[in-house]
Amino acid sequence: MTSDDQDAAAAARVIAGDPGAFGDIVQRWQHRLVNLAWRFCRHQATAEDMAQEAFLKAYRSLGSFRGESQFSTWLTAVALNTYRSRLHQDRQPWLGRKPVEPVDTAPSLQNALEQGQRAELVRRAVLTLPARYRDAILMYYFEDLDIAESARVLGIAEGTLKAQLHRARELLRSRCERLGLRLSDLQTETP
Amino acid sequence: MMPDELDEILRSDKTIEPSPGFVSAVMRATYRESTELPPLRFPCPDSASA
Repeated sequence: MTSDDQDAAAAARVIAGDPGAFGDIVQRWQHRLVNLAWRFCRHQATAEDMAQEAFLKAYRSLGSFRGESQFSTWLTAVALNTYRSRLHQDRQPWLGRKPVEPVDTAPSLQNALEQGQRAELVRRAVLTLPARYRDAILMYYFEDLDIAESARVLGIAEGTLKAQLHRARELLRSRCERLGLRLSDLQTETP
Repeated sequence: MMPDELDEILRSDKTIEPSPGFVSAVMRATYRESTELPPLRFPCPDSASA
């Protein structure tokens, strides 16, 4: 049984009156929804709260899932809409929190910490982009979704997404430079 | 700022693990929701023709 079949079976049981079957869906998709929320807020407790809200919205609207798209695409779109609304309401207060200051360590470790912090600043700069560019970047780079699936989740044409990604990268580069961040100085973090 | 470097930074973002109690918390909220929600309403002939 594929993941989509399992989701469809669980959804059918929920609609038939067994709310406990929703636990299968939460178990299977918790990692994706919490991590997508994390990219929108960079704060674990807030991300889990946002993901819980997204699951509850999905629970309420399970009856509207018609199977025209994959369940994962539908669920991710529900989550994306939830997170957009949440950011609009909360105005991202958690983004004012500074990344952890580096401690006094050996030069090589200090350098790695500084580079990690600067990469984090770039990722936070994504959250200051206009919503359509922010969403394009967050979806496209999330779990390596391809253009087609990212566009389906966003509800836009693939060509529109490509154009938005191009503009988003330009804006992001410009904002990073205004912050004094030259990407040529940055090394990516070791995963 | 090189495009490849930007791609690498955005692609290499860390992932977080949901807290151990996350699924339970969501299911508690789901059960609460399921007892609070009114039963599903179906269209009735009167309202459909109104």
